[in-house]
Amino acid sequence: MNFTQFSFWWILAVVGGPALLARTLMLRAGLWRDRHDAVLLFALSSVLFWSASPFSFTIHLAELLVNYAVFRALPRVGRRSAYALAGAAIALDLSVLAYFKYADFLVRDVAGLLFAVRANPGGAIDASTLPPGISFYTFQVVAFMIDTARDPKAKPVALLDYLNFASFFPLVVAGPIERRASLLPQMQQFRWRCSASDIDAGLRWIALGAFAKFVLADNLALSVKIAETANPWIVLSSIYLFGLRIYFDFAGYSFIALGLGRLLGVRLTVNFLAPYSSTSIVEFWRRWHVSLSRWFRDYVYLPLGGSRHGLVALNLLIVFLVSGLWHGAGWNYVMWGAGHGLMMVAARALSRRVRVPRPAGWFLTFNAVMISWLLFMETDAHRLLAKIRTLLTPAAYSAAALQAARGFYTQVEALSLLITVGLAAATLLGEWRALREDGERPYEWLLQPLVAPALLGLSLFLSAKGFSEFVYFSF
Amino acid sequence: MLGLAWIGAYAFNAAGLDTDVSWTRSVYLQKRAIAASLPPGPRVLVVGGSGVHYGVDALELERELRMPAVNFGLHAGLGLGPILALALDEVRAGDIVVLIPEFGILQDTAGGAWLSGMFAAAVGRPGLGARGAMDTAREIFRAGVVNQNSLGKGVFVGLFGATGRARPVVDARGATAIFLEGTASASKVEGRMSASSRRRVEAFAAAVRARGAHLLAALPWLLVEADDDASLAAAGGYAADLGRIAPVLRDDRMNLKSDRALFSDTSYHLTAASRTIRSRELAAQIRNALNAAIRADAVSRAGRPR
Repeated sequence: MNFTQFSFWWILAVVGGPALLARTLMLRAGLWRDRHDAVLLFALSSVLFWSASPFSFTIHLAELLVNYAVFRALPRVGRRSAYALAGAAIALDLSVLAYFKYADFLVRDVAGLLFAVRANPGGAIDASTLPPGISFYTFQVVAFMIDTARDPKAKPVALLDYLNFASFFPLVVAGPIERRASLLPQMQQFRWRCSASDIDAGLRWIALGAFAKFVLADNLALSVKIAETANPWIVLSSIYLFGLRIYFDFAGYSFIALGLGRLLGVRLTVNFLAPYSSTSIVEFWRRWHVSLSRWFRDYVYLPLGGSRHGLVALNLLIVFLVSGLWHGAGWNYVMWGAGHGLMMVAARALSRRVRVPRPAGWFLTFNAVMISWLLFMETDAHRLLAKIRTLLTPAAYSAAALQAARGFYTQVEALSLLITVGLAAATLLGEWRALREDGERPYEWLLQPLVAPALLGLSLFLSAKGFSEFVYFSF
Repeated sequence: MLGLAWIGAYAFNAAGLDTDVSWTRSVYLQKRAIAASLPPGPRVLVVGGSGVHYGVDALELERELRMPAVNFGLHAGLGLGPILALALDEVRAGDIVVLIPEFGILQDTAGGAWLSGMFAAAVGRPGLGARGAMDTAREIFRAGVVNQNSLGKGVFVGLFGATGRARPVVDARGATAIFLEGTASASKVEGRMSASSRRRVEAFAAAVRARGAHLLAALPWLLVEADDDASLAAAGGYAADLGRIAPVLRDDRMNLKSDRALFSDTSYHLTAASRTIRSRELAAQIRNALNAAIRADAVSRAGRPR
């Protein structure tokens, strides 16, 4: 289920369109009940997920059914048993995730540090077979289980509503990771209303997402010279271009998900809130991948004790190490997480003693976040070390290297890069201005009646030569 | 507004302002004219992307095989679907069609590639090479999408008259008359032939046979590192997959080469000298394959009850 693939939109149209038509006809004939809307929604989600990956869908459905059985049993057992049962279900969910995502890493990169092991014997584990969405929906069902186990007064939930909660097609593959309190009531009351205002709002979010993904992220991706390790100008510019790319890539996906949800009358969490406008690293993590940050705060950081007991630094480090590992099974992701954990610890410690002016805070945060993307984008350890060595060698930043850097791009590529970076900078500047004027709605100006269609039109003229996958799909 | 933008983008593509589009359209039209100009009777039609355009000398084939030959190599950016569809238009009874696809276009799951929509608009055939409703809808949609690179090239053409690509001069049998300068980097062969590509080639084979023509397949010459066993294994996989549809012409190393001197600007494009070697070798392989087919046919006829 990939919004960049034509097949997704095609199946959505050829399955969803006739289904809605049939619903309308049956409604007029008095044969349609409100509850059938939920059935239709689950059917559509299932068809889309199945068409993307039958294997993943099967695993997903099996997990949901086991979780639901446990969830139903919770009210019938004592409090202690309920915790044990919920814990077992969560352990099972995380085990499935660990098997597909981390088994190879644990064998080759962790055990391999201690013993001579044959990585991935027999090719049993292939990273490319990671079921799409498993990192996202696992966290969503785990949160649901914890919330349910914590609340002894939680009302029973119908199987269909639970399935729709965990399989809602706009979010099942890459979030946002929704909570019981925000999404479940919407699923329980779900109706295919198709209101004009929802369709209008949904299409604007989709237009914004398409622009962010196809124009900004995909064109930026073409300019990232990942293999270059010797020219510091290229290494440095590639890190910054990757930083912009990953933001517009994931934000683009999230906006399309938001728009699809809105088309159906469902409001999802806005996963990004102009993160590159942040004036501190703490603020950055309130604005970047909002639903994941909140998940870690509520289910890891706070249970560890949060900022109490004087263990805040340790707790922050644990949270960011786990967050790094969630993003990918590799030491580079662990180091990226550790880097952000250390920045958070340092920021908290310094914030009480040093008052940093906002422009300086933005400058420091923006550049620190950007530089840290090096650890995220570079999965090859040898290349990573070579790049760090190049970046830390002052003599490498020569005029000759700058001259040589021009040779990495043809005239047309340079023009294309200039256009893309200009559009990206204008978008970031607009977000920053919007934040100053309107608190927490940084994208409102891009969703205006004339702007959104213009963005969609621009997408037809300025898309990249070849589509790239969403970066976060590999997580 | 979206509809207007699509029409505008379609018009941009139809005008052939992207230099890759205009180059491919020009090459295609010239080769089609050459194929049509040959006298009635069997011909050798060599089909593929630019690997064929820059890698096969049809005049040399003609001399070796003593029958007319046409280089129908276009651009791998079109994808397998349009390349096969355009080639099929030219096939007639008795022809020997030699399909030499680049590995990448066999791996793709979609029939069209990044150039297909723009090219289809430029030749007035939106949906070219598509199979099935979804594929057709996608290719028609793509005819009205311009990428930023194309727009940039269009701007350069408009402002400075720059072409960004060598002029599409072809010789009397459709092969390039201009060899590109440059140093090729070694490639890797990865993946397998996709199921949709297999179905496309199968359908192409059936259509070729239905017209009374013969289909042969060949692996392209490709520059790889000398010790790249993974590419050798992967190329073997492609050969096996193609071999289930048509006889595959190749050497023991799956046509993978590690001598950079054989190649010009890319790992698929040959120099003038290596193109001659390649074409003579291909002619010998075609001759052997046809002899084998004739022998097999004779054995089959002899064994058939009268």
